[in-house]
Amino acid sequence: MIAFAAYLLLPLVGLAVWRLDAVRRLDLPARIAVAFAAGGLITGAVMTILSIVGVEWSRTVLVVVLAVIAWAGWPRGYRSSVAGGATRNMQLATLFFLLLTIYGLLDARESCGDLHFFWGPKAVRFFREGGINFAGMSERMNPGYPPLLPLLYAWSHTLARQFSWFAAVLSTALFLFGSVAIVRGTSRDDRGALLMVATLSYTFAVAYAAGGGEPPLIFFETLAIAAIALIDAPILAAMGLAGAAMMKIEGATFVIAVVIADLLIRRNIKRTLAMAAPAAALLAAWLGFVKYNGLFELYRGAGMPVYFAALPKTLLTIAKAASYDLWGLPWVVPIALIALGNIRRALFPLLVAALTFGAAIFFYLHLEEPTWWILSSAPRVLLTPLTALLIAAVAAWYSPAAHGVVPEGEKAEGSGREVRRHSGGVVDQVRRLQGDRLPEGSGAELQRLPQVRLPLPPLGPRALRDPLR
Amino acid sequence: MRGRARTAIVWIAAALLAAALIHRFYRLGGPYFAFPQTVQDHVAPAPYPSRDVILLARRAAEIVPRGATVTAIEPSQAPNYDVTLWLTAVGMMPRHRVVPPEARPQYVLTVRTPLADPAYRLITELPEGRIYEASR
Repeated sequence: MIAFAAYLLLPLVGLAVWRLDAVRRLDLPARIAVAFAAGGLITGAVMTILSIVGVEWSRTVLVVVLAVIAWAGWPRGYRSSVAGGATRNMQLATLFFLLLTIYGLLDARESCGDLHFFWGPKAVRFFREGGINFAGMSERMNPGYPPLLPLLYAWSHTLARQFSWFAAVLSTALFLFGSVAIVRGTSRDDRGALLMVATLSYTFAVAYAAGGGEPPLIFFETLAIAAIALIDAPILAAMGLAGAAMMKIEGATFVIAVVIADLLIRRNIKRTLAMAAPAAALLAAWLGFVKYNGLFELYRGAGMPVYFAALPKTLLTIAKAASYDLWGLPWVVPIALIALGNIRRALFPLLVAALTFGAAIFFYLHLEEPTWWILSSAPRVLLTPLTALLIAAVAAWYSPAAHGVVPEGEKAEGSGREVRRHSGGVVDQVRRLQGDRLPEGSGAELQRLPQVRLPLPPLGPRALRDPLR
Repeated sequence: MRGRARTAIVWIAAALLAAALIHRFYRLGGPYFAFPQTVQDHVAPAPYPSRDVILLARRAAEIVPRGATVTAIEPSQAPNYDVTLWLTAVGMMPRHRVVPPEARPQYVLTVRTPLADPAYRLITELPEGRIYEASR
C-alpha cells in the first residue's frame, strides 16, 4: 500500500509546474498528470544527486529533501484559468477502461517479464546499496540502460521499506491514464481521448507492458508530443523529452525523431534546440557515466552491421507484431481519422510516428535472424509510433481557436484577437464582432449558439468552421 | 457530417477494443477473481517457469544462508539455461549472491525438473521446485 502511495505522492513533489501558464490552462486531471511527470523527474534527479555526493538514501533523507522542494515550489495563491471537464459519457467510458486495466494489472494478466528480469532487481539493488551502484552487476541486467525507472521503483522501495512487485505493475495505470489526461487536457477532445484510452488499454495488455519501461516512456513521450503539437508549450515538451531520454534507450531515438520533425515543420532551430537541450545534456551526462564506469554501451547498437537481406522477413514479422492480435485495428482507426480530418495539422505527430516506426525497423535489421527479437519486443517498441499516431488523430481535428490562448508568435486565425489572449470561444468571437461587450474569456457556452445574431461578418464563416468541427 | 462519422468511428472502435480486451483476459484462463501469488500468474494460459522461480526464490530466501551464492535453473534446458530464471531470483533474494549457473554456486534452485548433477545434493523439495546444495 505504501509502495503504491509513493507513486501517488509524486505529483505533490512536482506541483511547482502548476505555476507555468501552459499548465494553468489545462484541466485538473491534466495538471495532476503534468505534476506527476515533473515529480518523477525531480525525484529521479534528487536521488541521482544524493548518490553523486555520497549521501546514502533513506526514507528520512528523501522525504525531507522532496518535501522541501514541494514546499518551495508550492503554487500559493494559485488560480486556474480553465473550466470545462470531460463529458459524462467520456468520464464513464474512461472509468470503464480504468477498471478493466486495473483488473488486468492486479490479476497479473499484463505484467512485463522485464520487470522481474532487470527493472525490479536493479531497483532492489539500488535500494540495498542506498544509491546508484553498478559494481559487479551482471551485464544481463543492462546496467547501461538509463536509470529513471529503477530510480522511481527504488523511491517506492525506500518509502515502503520493501519492494512491491504489484505496486510497480499498478503504476502502469498511472502512466497510462496520465497520458490520456494530458491529451484530453491539451486538446479538450473527448473523442480523441476516448480513442486513446481504449487503444492504449488494449495494446498495453497485448504488449505485456505493465511494470516495464514502456508505460512511463509513453507517458513522457505523450507529454512532449502534445505540448508541441497541441498547445505549443516548449517547457513541457522539454520535460517530456528529458523524461523519455532517461527512461529507455528508445527514448533517445524518440528525442532525435522529435528534433527532426520539429525542425522540418516549424523551421525554428533555436526553439527546437532549446527544447531538446535538457534531454541532450542528461543523455550526455549518462553516456559519460556509462563510459567512465566501463558499462556496456548499448547506445552503440546503431553502429552494428545491418542485414538488408533480412528486410522482407523483418517487415513481415513487424507487421505481425503490429497487428496486436486485432488485424491492426489500433493503427487503422487513427489513420482513418487523420484522413477524415486536417492532415496538415497532424503533420508533426505524424512525422514522429513515421520516424520512430522507421527507427524500429532499422534497429531490428541489426540481427540476421530477428524473428524472436521482434515478436518478443515489437508490440512494446511500437507503442511509441502508435501513441504519436493517436495524437496525430487528435491533432487532425484540433482547433486552437476554440481551445484558448494563441501561442506566442502566431496569429489568431480569423478572429482578429491578440496573441496570448483568450479567445473566449467561438461564440464570444462572433458576439464581439457584432459589437457585444464581453470580458476576456467570458466562457460563453456553446449551448448559447442559437441566440447569436446572424448574419455573420465577412470573417465569420472562417472563424467558425474549425472550432465547430 | 464528418464530425458524426468521427464520433461513430471512435465509439465503435472503443467498443471493439473493450470487447477484445475482455476476451483476451478470458482467454488467459482462471481463476479470474482470486488475488494472484505473483505478477506472472496469468500472463499465459500455462504459467511460465519464471513464475515458479518467483515462488521458489521467496521460500529459498528463508532457507539458504544469507550471503551464499545461488542460481536458478530449469535443468532440462541444459546446457543453454534460460538466463531470465536466475535474473528473476536476483530481485527475490537480495541478501544472497545470485550468480549465473556456470559460476557453480553453493546452492541451485530448480523448477519443473530435478537436477542430475553429482556435485549437488537435494536438501529441500517444495511444491514450487527443489533446492540443491553443493556436495562438500
